[in-house]
Amino acid sequence: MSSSPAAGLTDSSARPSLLRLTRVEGRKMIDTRAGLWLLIVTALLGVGGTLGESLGSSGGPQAADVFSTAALSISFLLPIVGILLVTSEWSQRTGLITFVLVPIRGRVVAAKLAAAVIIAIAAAMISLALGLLGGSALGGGTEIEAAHVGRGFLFLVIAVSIGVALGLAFMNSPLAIVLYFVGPLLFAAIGAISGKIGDVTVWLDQSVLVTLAEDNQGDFGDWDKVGVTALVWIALPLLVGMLRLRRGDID
Amino acid sequence: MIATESLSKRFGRQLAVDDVSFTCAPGTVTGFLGPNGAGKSTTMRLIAGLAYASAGHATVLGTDYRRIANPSRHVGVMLDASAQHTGRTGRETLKLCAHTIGVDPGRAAEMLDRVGLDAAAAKKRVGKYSLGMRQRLGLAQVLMGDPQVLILDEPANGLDPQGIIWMRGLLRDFADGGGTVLLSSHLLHEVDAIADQLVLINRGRVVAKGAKSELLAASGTLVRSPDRAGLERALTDARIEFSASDRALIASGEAEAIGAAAQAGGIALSELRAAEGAGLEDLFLSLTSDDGEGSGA
Repeated sequence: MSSSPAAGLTDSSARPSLLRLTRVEGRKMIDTRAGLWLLIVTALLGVGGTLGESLGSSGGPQAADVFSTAALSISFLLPIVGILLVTSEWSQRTGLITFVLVPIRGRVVAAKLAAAVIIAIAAAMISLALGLLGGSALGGGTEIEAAHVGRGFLFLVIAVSIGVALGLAFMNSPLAIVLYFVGPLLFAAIGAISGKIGDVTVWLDQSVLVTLAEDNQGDFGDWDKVGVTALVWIALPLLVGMLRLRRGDID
Repeated sequence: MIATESLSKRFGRQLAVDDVSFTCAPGTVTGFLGPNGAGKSTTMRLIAGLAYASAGHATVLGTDYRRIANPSRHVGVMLDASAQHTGRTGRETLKLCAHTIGVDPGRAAEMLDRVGLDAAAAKKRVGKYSLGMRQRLGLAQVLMGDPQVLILDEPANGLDPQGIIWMRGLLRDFADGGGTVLLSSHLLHEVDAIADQLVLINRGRVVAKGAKSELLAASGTLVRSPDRAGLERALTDARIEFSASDRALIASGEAEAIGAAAQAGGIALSELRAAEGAGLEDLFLSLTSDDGEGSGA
């Protein structure tokens, strides 16, 4: 031990890799009872939605319809998983440990985002499996367009990313969760006041995301709205959160 | 090795940490003492990169903490033992740490054992832990990376007397093995028995620092007599300065001079010795009381 930095002390190759940190963040989602149950309930919603779709359709459900319904049902709670992955560092004050272990804060955020996206892809694969299973078992057919599957995956990835971004912007679980549920409704309500306002809010209220998962054939024409929605609900809060985190004190 | 140089931290108009400079050398235990709200935790957060300094800087092992690639392999930092996820088990808390910093997760069991948390405690959720158990878990966590430096904020908080003795032994061994320890406390007796060096802080400012033996040497002689008024008179007559401490007096000067003064005044003494802990307590109280601010720095 000397007063000058020891060799290798600051060598960036000794940093925990992003892959390692992503695995750790994934582990944090399931290693508490609350976290595990949230994932289980989220998945059960997907199964429940599938059953509802199957029972409600005459002549057996189409795989594409079941896939859409499963993804939409899962998307109800999936963003909460993303929110809590971030906000629990503050509500449980584990940030004191996390950022001591990994002082470059952006790496923690990147790992959380990556872990959340992986969970979303897993959820989309479950939705697809439910779709194919429902379609074949109940006789509606297993036809499903690749583009539709891709949009369904994208839909869930966007949904969970909105959660992570809101969690980071607010660093507070109830606030982020309330805004996640109420925010889009608020925009829709404001939009309903007049057609002109509605022309603006339709770009902000996330309703286009639902069509992303729902439209199961033909060309999807609303990519511009998806882009704007993602910018407003992901990029903006992520930026706000990163600015807060970068200069802020952890306590 | 820990060093702070004119470290300052401003919250709004208030200076929580004001021009704090000290160093902690390998092989020593430094007690960071001050009343609650004196700026101990903030200073430690600044050192560990959780807060940004308004002025000055801090280094650990010769570099900014944030620049250390995998800091927990070199520096163990525990800033608040109660800041653990209540839903995780003790063992899982350590495993998560192991996975993050890239040490063998099997070390979790080893460290739990080292801090005296048994198999039943390891399986319990942290929410069911007492504060003392959380302190032990926190210590296990900082030891996971086998560091050379420990930075511990109020580690004795919530430990029972036995636990405090155990922790002293652990930290003493750590320092004797060449490690550097900085630990804070608002209670003097927690660090009195273990620290080689003391840094006293009040209202964000360092009011005294140095080797404990030096600080003690300056703190005088404890003298006690059944006839306290008579003793005070005798000391005044001999022009020996003193202050009141509980039922005794703390007088400046060597025991011989004070004994002679008592004899000259015809006062029988019931106690006469170097002030030691009592002196340190007085020093602590006088330095950190409102009107005594800065008197000893």
